[in-house]
Amino acid sequence: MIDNGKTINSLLRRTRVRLRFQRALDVATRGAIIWSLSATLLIFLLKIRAIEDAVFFFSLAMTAALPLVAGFVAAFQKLPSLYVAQLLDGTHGLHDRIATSQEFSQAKQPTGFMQAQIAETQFHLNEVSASRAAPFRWPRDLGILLLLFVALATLTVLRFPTSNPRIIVARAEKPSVLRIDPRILAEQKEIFSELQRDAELAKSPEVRALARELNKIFSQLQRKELSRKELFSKLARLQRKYLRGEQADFDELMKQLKKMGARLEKNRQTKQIAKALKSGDLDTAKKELQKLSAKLDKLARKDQRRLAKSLRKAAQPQVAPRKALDKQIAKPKKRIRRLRKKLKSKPKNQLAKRRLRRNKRQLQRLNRRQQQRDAQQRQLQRLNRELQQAAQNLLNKLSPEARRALERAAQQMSKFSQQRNRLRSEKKAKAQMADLKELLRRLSQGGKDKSGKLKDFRLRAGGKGKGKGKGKGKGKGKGKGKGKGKKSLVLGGSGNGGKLLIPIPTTAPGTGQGKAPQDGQGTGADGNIKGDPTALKGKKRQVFVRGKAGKGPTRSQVIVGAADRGFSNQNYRKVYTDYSRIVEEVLKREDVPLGYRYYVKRYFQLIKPR
Amino acid sequence: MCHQESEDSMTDRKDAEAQVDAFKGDVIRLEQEVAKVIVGNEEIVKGVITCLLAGGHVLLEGVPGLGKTMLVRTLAQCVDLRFSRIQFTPDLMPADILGTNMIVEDEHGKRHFEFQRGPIFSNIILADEINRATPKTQSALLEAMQEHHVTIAKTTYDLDEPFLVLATQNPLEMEGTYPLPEAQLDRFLFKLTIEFPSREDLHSILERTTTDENPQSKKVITGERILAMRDTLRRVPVAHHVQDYAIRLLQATHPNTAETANSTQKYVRFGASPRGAQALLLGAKVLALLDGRYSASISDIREVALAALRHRLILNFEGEAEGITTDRVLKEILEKLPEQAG
Repeated sequence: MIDNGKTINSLLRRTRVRLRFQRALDVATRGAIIWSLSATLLIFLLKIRAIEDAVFFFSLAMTAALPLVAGFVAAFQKLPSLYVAQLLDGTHGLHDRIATSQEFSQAKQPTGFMQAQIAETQFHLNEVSASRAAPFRWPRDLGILLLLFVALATLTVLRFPTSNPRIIVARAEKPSVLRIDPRILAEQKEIFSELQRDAELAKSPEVRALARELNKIFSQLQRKELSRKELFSKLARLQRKYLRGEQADFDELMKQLKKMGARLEKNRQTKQIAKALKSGDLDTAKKELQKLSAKLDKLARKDQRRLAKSLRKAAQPQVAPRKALDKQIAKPKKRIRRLRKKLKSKPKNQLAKRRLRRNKRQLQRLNRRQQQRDAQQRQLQRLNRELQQAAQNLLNKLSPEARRALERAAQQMSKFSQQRNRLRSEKKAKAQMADLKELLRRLSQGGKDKSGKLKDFRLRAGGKGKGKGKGKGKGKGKGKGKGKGKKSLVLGGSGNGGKLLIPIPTTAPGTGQGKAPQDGQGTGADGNIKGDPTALKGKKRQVFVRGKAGKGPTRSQVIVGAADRGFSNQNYRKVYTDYSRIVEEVLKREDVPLGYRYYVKRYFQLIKPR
Repeated sequence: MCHQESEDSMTDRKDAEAQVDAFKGDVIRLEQEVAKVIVGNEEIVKGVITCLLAGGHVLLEGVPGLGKTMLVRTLAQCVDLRFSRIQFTPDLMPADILGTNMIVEDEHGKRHFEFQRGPIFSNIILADEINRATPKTQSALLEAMQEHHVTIAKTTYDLDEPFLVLATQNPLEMEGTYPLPEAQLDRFLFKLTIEFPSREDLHSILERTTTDENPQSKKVITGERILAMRDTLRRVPVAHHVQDYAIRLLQATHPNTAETANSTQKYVRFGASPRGAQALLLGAKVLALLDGRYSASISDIREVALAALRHRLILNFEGEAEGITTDRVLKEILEKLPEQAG
């Protein structure tokens, strides 16, 4: 008996209801997730008082409708019968019986096979249940929803500071104060006080003032009052203010003086002056001029004439070549003109402005140099004039006038000497300023590692550093030493194998009891530190020993001794001067990298004689 | 009047049920009889019987010695039908298959042409190693397979029904062979691949063939009954959604269609022809009846999909170069094609 698919339709209806319910539940859960997210945002806004209470409740109520609406829409969405039937077939392994029968039941004239299919399907329907095809289950996204609810509850409990709006006051950024090791500062102070002494000798007020100002800067650094930027701007200002002399121009003057010396060489009376001028010894030249002036009256008339001739020849006006400097000055002038023209058409061109400033500075520098050179030329002309006047007076038999003229020439020579000393002092000051700048730059940039490195370097340069090696020290034994002992000199220590110990025989009392640490010498001391008292009861004989004059210690002995006893030895000073001079020459000649150059210079600063 | 209608429909239903029962019973008997001689290969036997009942032809592919010829011979014995075996060789001519006109002299001494029928004039034809014959000879089978008649010298000769061609080909020896043209491949309802037998099957094969045991099959079904069963098959209805699935499956074998899977897009040059969909439905109907159902289902379609479509897909160069098989492409399509349309 068949019912033309009524049973099938009823089953489909039941399954469809279940499916719709489940779908509504799933979609409503997703809607609830969206609602809880928006509620979280609303609560947050309410807590920070970004929205009013009324707005909050209204928005919350509006968003609360979202899951309900979504659920309803999902529940009443179309669900095709074929889908439901196939779901039933699939879950019950019915080989499309329900879907096929459902279609056949709607046929106008079902064939025998169709009817047989429907009847056969009805036979199987007893085993089919809607709950198996569409079982109720928890919504898929329920876990997420619960998590969001927990977050929402937490947010509701949390309190936000909302009473007063927080005012964030932007703090003016303090420039970081420069911290430099006081020992390094003390060393630099010492270097510049030495420079100050030199400047006093050279009568260079600029370098003296520079050294004074630098001392002030060092004091400020010790008090930690300067930042890096302030320090470097001060140094730049000092350099601009005090170190403006040009050694190159004075060299030109010296060349002319040497030529003058060459002309004076032939005369017997002026031979010594010529010699001094040729060797660049202006002080001697001055003294020789004064000597000549003193003995002028005693000279025979013939010699006076010869001398006058020689002086006149020496005083020939010499014109220093200006072309090179003029060419140099012309270049920035031309560039300045071009840049000004360019800036007229494009006044906002920053690059052109920068170039213009740079060229102006260069031009100023060159002009200053030209002025200095002109002044020197004037002084040279004055010397020439005095020599010519002396020569003329000698020819006119006016010895006193000639003597006075030679004395004035000697004074002029003295001025040249002072000027040269001043320039030398300035040059030295410049070099030391450059070293100081490099040192400060490294100290202020390096950070912990670098300053540590420098500290280590400083110690090693001073012969006090510890090696990096892991070698174990010898001499663990205990005991009382007598007689001849051994001292060890630590040289460098940067090797891998530990420290290099050089035994030096001495006549000092033996070392005492000590326990050497693993990587160095012992720290303990013998209780009998002075050794045993002199045995007075022994036979004695008083002998006078005369000292022997000899060549003195060798260089290596001097160096080793200095490392042992300090850098205040006179012999050491000589050795140091020789070595540092050679090093300076090599540094000038060779293309040594800046970093290495700095360390070499620093090393020699640190081991300089005290 | 209404009562009369109800009675008629009841009669139709009872009749359908009876037909299905009989169909199922006959096929089971046939399978059992074949199984007396053929060991294992149940799926192949089932496939061959499906083609016999659906009125299609079968292409059997397998290495030599797996019992292809034996299967066909046994089937012919069981169904009481005439059986011919044609061993295809390169020098085989169409006339050797179809037959030829010969001059004969009658009792009056008069000479006339008389058509001498070839081996094609049988019910079950075993075209052994069909790919060894030249294309000319292969194409001689085309008309016979599709139209069930042959035309020689303007005379058309109908072939006896049921007419079933079982062609075999060896996939290993490709030298000196002429691969079947696509048009001819399409005329086979199923292409069945014979796998190497299992250990148990091999035991049975050895016991049956190396002892004095000589199992013989007997006739369990006649040619007329097979034709009646074909009628029954044709009356099996197919629901729209099942037919729609078959069509979507067919479309999915074509590159550049909505249903196309990735592998199809990549490896297939041409998909299956509409004959493929016919094969799917007919095969599915047979399976439904064998299962005692009155209409085909999607699962029936899926079950016959490989046999019905594997020889209808033409792979492109990339597919050939990468050694992709049509079975792999079809399996991916079946995996990805949803049973629900839209």
